[in-house]
Amino acid sequence: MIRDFDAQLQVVLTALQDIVAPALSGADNHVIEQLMLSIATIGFVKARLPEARRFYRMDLRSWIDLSKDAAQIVSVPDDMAKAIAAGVGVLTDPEADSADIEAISRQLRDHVTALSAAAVGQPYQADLEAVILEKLGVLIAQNRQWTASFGFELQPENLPLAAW
Amino acid sequence: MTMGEYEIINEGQRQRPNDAIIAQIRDRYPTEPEIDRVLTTKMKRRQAGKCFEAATLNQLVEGTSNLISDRLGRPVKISNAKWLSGGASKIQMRFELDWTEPDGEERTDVLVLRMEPAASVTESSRTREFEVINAVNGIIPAPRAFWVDPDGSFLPYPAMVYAFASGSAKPSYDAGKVSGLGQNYGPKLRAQLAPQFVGLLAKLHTIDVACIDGMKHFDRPTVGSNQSIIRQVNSMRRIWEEDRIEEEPIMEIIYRWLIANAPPLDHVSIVHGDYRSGNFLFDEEQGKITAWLDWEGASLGDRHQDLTYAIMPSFAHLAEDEATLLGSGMMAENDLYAAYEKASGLTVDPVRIAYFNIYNRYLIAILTLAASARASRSRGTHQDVLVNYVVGLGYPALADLRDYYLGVVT
Repeated sequence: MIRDFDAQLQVVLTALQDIVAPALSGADNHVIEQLMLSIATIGFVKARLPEARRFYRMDLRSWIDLSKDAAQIVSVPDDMAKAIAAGVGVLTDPEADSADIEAISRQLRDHVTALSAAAVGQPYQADLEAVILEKLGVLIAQNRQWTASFGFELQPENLPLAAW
Repeated sequence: MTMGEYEIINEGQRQRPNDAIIAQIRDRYPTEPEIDRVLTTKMKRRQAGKCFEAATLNQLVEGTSNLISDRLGRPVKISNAKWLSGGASKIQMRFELDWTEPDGEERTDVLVLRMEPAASVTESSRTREFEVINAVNGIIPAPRAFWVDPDGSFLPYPAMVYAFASGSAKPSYDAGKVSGLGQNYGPKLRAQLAPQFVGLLAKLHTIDVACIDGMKHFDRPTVGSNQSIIRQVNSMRRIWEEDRIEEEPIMEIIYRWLIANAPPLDHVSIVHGDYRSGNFLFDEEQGKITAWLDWEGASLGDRHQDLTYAIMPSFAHLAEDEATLLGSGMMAENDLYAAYEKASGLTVDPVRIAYFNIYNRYLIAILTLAASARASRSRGTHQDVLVNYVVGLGYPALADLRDYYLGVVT
């Protein structure tokens, strides 16, 4: 029997929504609130789990693109150049783990920030900051789409379509 | 990999910081001594690998009883204790106390114990909260603060005891919402509450700070100086450094801007720091604000901080016309500023409004993407599921920060 994740999460959600929640009628508000938030959180996982690898790949692609744009403005340190190359390699490796993909994205986040800090007072500071602000605007919008089900978007219908 | 003169702190070091890491961060981002103490305590707790340990109601009753008995010098009787819901960051217990005032008056009071968990959305000082509530006593409706256990000597974590305040944080028809986030009070209640919302803010900001004896754990800012604001920005930057899950380069760009553009104070106000929907109680039938809560983020500083916080998009919703954004479910931004100027006699300065709009967006991005994410991941609170849920606000907040910043600097 295949214990697929979707079915496991589905049965938990059904139990919580159909059996546990009605039984808590009259319980303290914070108990009901925690149950409702648990249901919503599991719902998020259920919806996004099948897409997670695609999302992490898109995220890494975005950081590689930004890093390459930064390299057009300023000479990047060797370890950053190596991280860019490693990222390109991971994206072409069908056996790469999601954890590998995430780890390189994390490195590039740190490298870009360090590059920006080192740019203070340099003639290219404004250009570098502009490219960071522009490129990350697109990526942040994708992250908003990713987490929209949490219900904090004023107008979720205006978010860009998922690009992962 | 370095950032400036420092090695970049990695996730492992952030999860289990050693003394050198803690010292390095303190050195890089100097802030007020009491804020420094609170944040350092947080890091020391993390260093020791301490998760939140749930206390039973009986343990809290015993600890509270010992605290009050110690402060009064005589035994007291606590009864009818029960958990109190509300708020994302503190543990609360409601109870009744039979006791005798120092002047001999015998009383029975309904009180609230407010205690920190091991980690929090907002790490804060119970001592400062205690002091500011006493400072506004009789001016702003806030529950009377009775006793404080600043270091957790009697209770599992630092805590304070204050009077129970009646009222609701949410309208009865919308009780399921996470408190304060996009709260819609509806047209009738809004019309009743909005003038009080602005009027009380004006009262708070016009309290003569020089005449307050208490507030010993607050730095006293100087008119004409921007040092107090820089210290506040540093405290936020420090939380970002200590708590973030991953780096966001935009945050560094905006930190630099906030430091370079910090405006000098033109008037010293008591700043609530979390002045928004969800942080006051009201009587729904009478349409009256009964108490302002959550004073833990209070500071002495610039009124524009509260003004802009109240209208943050995170706490706003669209009015019935589907076009007007109502800050804290109360008023459109310009209406709020106009009403505030009239009520306070203080000016609303567009330059400072722009600055604190960025500051507050920076703060919200940090409290969601860093503090909340770290607290829930480290099993630091009594309601990790709620604190984790609030992280969902992080990317809308970061987008809002970026967009607003670009609107100001370009």
